[in-house]
Amino acid sequence: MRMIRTLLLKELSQHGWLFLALLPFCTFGFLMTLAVGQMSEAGSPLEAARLFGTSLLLLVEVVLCNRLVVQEFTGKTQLFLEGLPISRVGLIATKYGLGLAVVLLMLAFCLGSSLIVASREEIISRRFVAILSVRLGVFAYCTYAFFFMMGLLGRYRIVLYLLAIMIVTVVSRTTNFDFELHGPLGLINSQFAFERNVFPTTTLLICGAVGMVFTIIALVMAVLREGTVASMLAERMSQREKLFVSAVMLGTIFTITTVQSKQTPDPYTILGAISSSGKGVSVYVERVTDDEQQIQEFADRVHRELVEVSEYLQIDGIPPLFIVHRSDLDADRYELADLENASGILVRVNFLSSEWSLEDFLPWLLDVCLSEATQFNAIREPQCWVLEGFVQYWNRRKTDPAVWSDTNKWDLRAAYGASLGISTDDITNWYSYRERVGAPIASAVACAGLVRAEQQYGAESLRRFLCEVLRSDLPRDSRALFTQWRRPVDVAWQDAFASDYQPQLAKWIDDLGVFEDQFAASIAEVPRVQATSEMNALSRTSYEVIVTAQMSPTSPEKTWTIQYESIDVVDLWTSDDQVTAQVIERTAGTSGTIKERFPFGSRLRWTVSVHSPILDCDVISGWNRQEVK
Amino acid sequence: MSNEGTPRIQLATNDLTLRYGSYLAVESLNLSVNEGEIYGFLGRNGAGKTSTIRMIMGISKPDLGTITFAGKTLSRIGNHEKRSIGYVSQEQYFYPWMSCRRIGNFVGGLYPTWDDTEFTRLLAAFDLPPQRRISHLSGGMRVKLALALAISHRPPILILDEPTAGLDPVARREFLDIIRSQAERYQRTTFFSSHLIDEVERVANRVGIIHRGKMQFEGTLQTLRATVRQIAAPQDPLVVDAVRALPLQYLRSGLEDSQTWLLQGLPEVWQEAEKLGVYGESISLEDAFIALASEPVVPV
Repeated sequence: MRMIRTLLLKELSQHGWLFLALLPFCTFGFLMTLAVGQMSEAGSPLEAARLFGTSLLLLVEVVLCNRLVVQEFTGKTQLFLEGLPISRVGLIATKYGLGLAVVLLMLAFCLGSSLIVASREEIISRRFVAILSVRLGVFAYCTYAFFFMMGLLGRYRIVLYLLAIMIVTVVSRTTNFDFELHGPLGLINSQFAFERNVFPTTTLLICGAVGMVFTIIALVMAVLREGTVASMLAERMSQREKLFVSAVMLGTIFTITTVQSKQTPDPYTILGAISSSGKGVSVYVERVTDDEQQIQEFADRVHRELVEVSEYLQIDGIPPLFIVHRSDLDADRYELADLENASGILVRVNFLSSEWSLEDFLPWLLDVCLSEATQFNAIREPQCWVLEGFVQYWNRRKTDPAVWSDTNKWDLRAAYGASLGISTDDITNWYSYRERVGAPIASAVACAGLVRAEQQYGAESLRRFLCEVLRSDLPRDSRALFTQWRRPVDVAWQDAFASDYQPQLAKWIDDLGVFEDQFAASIAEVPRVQATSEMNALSRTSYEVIVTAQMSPTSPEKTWTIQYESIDVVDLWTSDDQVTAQVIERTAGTSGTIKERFPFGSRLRWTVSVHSPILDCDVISGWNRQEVK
Repeated sequence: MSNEGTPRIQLATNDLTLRYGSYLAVESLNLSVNEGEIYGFLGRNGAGKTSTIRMIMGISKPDLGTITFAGKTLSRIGNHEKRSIGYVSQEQYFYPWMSCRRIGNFVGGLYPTWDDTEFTRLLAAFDLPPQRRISHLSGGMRVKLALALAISHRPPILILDEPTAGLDPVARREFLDIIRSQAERYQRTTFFSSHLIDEVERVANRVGIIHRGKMQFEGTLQTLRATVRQIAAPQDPLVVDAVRALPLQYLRSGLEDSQTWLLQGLPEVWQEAEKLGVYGESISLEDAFIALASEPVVPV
């Protein structure tokens, strides 16, 4: 007892400030979670305890174990303790117990607070409290034991953490194993706040046993070979060791990605689909009507288009295409599905609509298919203008002037895009430019660049350039990165046209200025759209967004549209698939209220668009991103 | 040290053996430290001194052999026995954030016999500011602090593992004087290791010399001087015959003169040798230590 009391006092005086610092940090973090959870209507205040368990608690455990274990061994102060009447088991057990007590104390506070808040809204039975406590407690015990054990692995712990993350990622991506249902995460999954009667006995027992195993390993590590193993592991890595570990890590990542890329999942299947296959391209269309001939013609037309493109670009990697019918979609809305455990491209469209336009659908489809075929290399920002320009160029190239009387609409759109301002930086920051002017205008500008290159260097040179940028023969693993680095767009340009890329971009911008002058009269009639927003609090947690549009000159259209989409805090990638379009009658004025309500703290992106008959497309005010507050 | 009758053994090792994998660090080591004496444990770097002390302190477990401590024979020293030992390790890995006073409070909590007044007195005697953080202490001050911590619980035996390594000559002399005065004042058994013969000569009553994990010599410094001697003209057939006829152990050729031999033998054997015309010359303690703690050099 004397030894434990002395060690406890030592640990408290050494780490007491950390415990004191963690307490307000966790309290604040937890209360924020609780408050945000309440406002965003998470379903139950108990969700806050769950979120605390999966985020802050794990952070606290890592910090605690690092302080209690790693600091002792890397500072070699355990060698000082060895000379004192202190047993190794006693030392490690004291540290373990103290850390676990701090973790459980914080957990008890958070769960208790959540229960108090929840008791105002729902009935909290003793059994429910017991279930919640046991679930959270065993989760905390299991994870704490894991981090404690890792602390004793000294200099290899970071490597092993990375390895563990990689294994979890690989397992979750390559198998059907759901970590939310098994193991520690199974104890605090989405059912946590709502399961009132049943103890997850099996998961509890497994996690308890796993935690026990981690604890035993930690104890064994601490006393193995008179504690010299833990001491040796705590030593800093030598340069040679760092190099070796880095090589092993990179090698493992490389191997995993290579092996994963070789494992092509089975193709998606549509039962009874009508297909059109040949020349390396397969198209399957859902049979939704008795008129098989109509669907067969549709499938054949799409197939023919894809074959022509693949022959032109010498692509042989277009994945099988699956088209399903969605009657609830507008005719001009196309959805790309996310296939997790199947290969191919699945799109959902309303191809039986009376307003359906195959000619409008094909450029979108080409964009999707070429993105997939190039393993998304084509949509990397420095060169994505090429793909966007190509799908319009392809459409324009195939257009029979007799059918398309206004072929100049491409140039008109490009001229309008130029009138909104463009520089060579916009070409390299293409996604920002596209958000500013809208997809139809941006693709017309890109198309103008390709047409200019064709006129200057010839069709065959342009084809060579396109073949290089939109190539599909990249390795389907990490080696693709090296290939891409070796062949950036400026090198491809140089090879195909024997001229420097950047000066040509500047000339292209100059040509757009010529377009702008040439079509000045026409584009002067196209409205320039500007818009502002205002947020009104309807309640403490709910907000409405009012958008006011200004158009100069005034649009002849009877309606204008607010397009919007809820986005995450970090919106690395946005897709137009999720955008909601709300049509506003011009008679209703220049302001419109978005029908959807937004919770406090959420984020959205929005724009105002109006159709331009001159350009035969929508023009927009530019996408805005805003936080609701 | 008791001068009356047979001295009482405070600490002894009996065939103590320790392996690190296939490497034999300590091999069947036997030593005995009498109550109240200062025992110098000599050996070169890597000879097995620290491994032996770690076994004596219960930090490492011997593969074979036992330790006799205060009359009890144990396979391993436990926490109970450790409370009766003061220990200063070779390197001081104190908590750098603690002050001298605070580390005293911490260590004192582990010993029922801790004398806080004595610790305070020692801090003052060793010129250690009580509130100064350990990270701000010099190497010499840290060793003094380690000594203060080791003796403030008034242990009957003090074990020091090369405590003066890394200290400058002044600090070393100061430290050795403290050790000697402590041992004299409290009749405290002191066991300390070193590879420096001069500091052992300065304070030790008896020495043990270890080489490659084996005990080469144990006894007083006078005995060491009397047993290890140098002979001249070893090529003389008469001398060679005499050496072969007597139980004299060849250690190595002379350190500076290959025409001499260093031999080890009991004093009475040397007396016998003189009768045969072989005269063993006295050598310095350092030469005697080097002769015992180095590889034999084949005579030319």
